[in-house]
Amino acid sequence: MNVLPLNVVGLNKSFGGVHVTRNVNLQLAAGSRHALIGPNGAGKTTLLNLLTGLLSPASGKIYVFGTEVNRMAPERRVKLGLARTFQINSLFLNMTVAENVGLAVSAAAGFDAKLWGRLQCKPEILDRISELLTKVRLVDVAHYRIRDLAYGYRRLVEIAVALALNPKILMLDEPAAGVPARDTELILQILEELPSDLAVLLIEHDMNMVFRFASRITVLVDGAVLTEGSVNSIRSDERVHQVYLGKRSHG
Amino acid sequence: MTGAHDQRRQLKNAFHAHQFGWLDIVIWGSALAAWFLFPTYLTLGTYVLIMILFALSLNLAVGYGGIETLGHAAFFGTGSYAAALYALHVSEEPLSGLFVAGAAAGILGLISGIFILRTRGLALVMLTLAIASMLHEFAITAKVITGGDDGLSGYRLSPILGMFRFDLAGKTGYLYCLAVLALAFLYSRVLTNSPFGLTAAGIRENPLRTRLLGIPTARRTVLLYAQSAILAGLAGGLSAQIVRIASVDSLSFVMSGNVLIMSVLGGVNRLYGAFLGATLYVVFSDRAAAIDPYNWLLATGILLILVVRYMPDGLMGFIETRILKSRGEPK
Repeated sequence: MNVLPLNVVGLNKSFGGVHVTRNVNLQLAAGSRHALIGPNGAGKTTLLNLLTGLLSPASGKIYVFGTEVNRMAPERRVKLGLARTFQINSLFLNMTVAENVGLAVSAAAGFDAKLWGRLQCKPEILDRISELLTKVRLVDVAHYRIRDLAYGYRRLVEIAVALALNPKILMLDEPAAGVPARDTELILQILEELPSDLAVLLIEHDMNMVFRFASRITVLVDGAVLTEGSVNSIRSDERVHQVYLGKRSHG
Repeated sequence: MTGAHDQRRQLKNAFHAHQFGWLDIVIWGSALAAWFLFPTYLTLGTYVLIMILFALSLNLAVGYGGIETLGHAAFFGTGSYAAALYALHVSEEPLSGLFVAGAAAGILGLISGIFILRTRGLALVMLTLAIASMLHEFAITAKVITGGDDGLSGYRLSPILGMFRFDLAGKTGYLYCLAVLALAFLYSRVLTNSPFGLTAAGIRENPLRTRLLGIPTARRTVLLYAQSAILAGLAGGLSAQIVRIASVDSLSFVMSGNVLIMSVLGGVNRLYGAFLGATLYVVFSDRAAAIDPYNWLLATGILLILVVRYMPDGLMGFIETRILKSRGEPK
C-alpha cells in the first residue's frame, strides 16, 4: 500500500474567535503538482504554517508519510522531508547566496554542528551548491550578499534553499510574488524542472502560472475548502469564478 | 573538468572566512613586543590579556550567537574560584588547574544554558543577570568554601610544565596568559570558520528560518554558550592563578558590565574586537585614573558614548570598513 507523503484530515485553527482554518482536508501524492488558491485572507499561508509546525492546530491531524506530526517541532518535520519557501523572503541577508544555500546543504548533510573544518573546503558540498545554483540559474551571483541582490533573484534563492534540504514535499508560498512579469516565466520553467517524484504544493495568485503548473487545485475561502478538482473542473466552476477568478480578472 | 574546478574555486570564494594576514602579525607582534618594551608594566599587560580572553568569550556569545547577556561574570568567577579551590585542595600544578577552571565554567554554561536560552531579549538579560547575582551571593555567604568577602588566597602554584616559575615581575605570567590567549583565539577562529560557525550566524540572523532548515537551534545555541563559558572560565582561572586571589568581585555585576563595555568598544562581532576593546578600556581607565583618581569614570563614559555614536561596529569594525573603503572593495 502506498503511504501518502502528506495527508491532512479535518484541520482546524482559530485565532481568538476567528476561524482561520475550518475542517481542511488535503492529500498530496508523490509527484503531485497541487495548487492552493483563494482570495487574500483565505488562510493559505496559515495552512502552510500549520503544516510546517510554526502553528499548532486546534484539532485535526497532519500525517507525513503516515506519521502524525501534529506536535512535532518544525526542525524535525524538515527531516521527514517537508520544506517550504516563504511569501516574504526569509533569507540570511548578511550572508552570500552561496552561504545561504550552503547552510541548508550543511544542515541536510548533518554538518551543522561540526566544530572544525570549513564547509567550502568540501568538494562534495561545493558541487551540491553548484548543482542547486545551476538549477535556479544563480551561479553567477553566488558571491553576492542577499541584501545586495535584486528581489526576483532572492525568490530563486528561496527555492534553491528549500531544494537543498532534499525535500519530498515542497511547499511554495507565492514564489512569483513581486517578481516582474518577464521573470515569472523563468520561475515557472524552474518549477517545471523539479524532480518528478517530488510532491509540490503551490500557493500562487498568478492564475496563468497555476493553470500551467498544477494538475490539481484546491480552492480555499474563509479558511475552508470550497472545492478541489482538476484544472479544467476548477476553471469551469462557477463558484470559483464568483469568489476569486472573476474578481481577479477585473482587478 | 577544469570548468567544475573553476566553479568550485569561485564558490569557495563566495564564503566569508577569516584568513591569516597582516592584522594577525601586527596584533600578536605587538603583544609579544610589549613583553620586551614595557618590562615594568607587565602586571597591567597581563591583566589586559586576561580581559581580552574574557571579552573574546563574550564576543562569541553576543556577537556570534546573538545571546544577550549581562551575567558573563558568572563564568569568569566560577573559573576563578575553581582554579583557586583546585590549587588549595588538590594540586598546585597550574595547567590542570586551568583545565578545571574551564571545565567548571563550561558545565555551568551548559546547564544554565539549557534553562535560560529558551528566552531572548530582555528576559534573557534578566536571567543571565540573576544567575550571576545568585552565584555572587553564594560566594559571599558560603564562607567555608569560598572564604566569603575575603575570597580565597594563600595558595601557591608550581612552575608551569615544571620549568617556568612564576616570578614577581610577572614575566612568566604574561607569557603564560599570552599562550593561553593564543590557543583560545585559534580555537575561536576555527570555530567561527567551521560549519557550526555558519549555523551560529544563521541562528543569530534568522532563528526561525534556521529551524526550518531542520536545525535544532536551541541545542546549537546552548553548545555555543557553553564554549563561550569555557573561555570565560579560562580567563577567570588565569586571573586567580596570576593575582593569587579569587574574590567575590570576579562574580560581580561590575565585572559583567565592564566586559560588555570592552566588547562593544572593540566590536562584538569580530574576534579582534575583543583585543582592541579590552586594551583600550583597561589602558585608558588606568591612565585616566592616574590623572584624576576621582573623575576617571566620567572620561571612560565619554569614550564609550563617542565610540558607540561614531563607530557602531566598534573600533575593529571602523578599521575594517576604512581599510576596505581605501582598497575600493565593496563591503
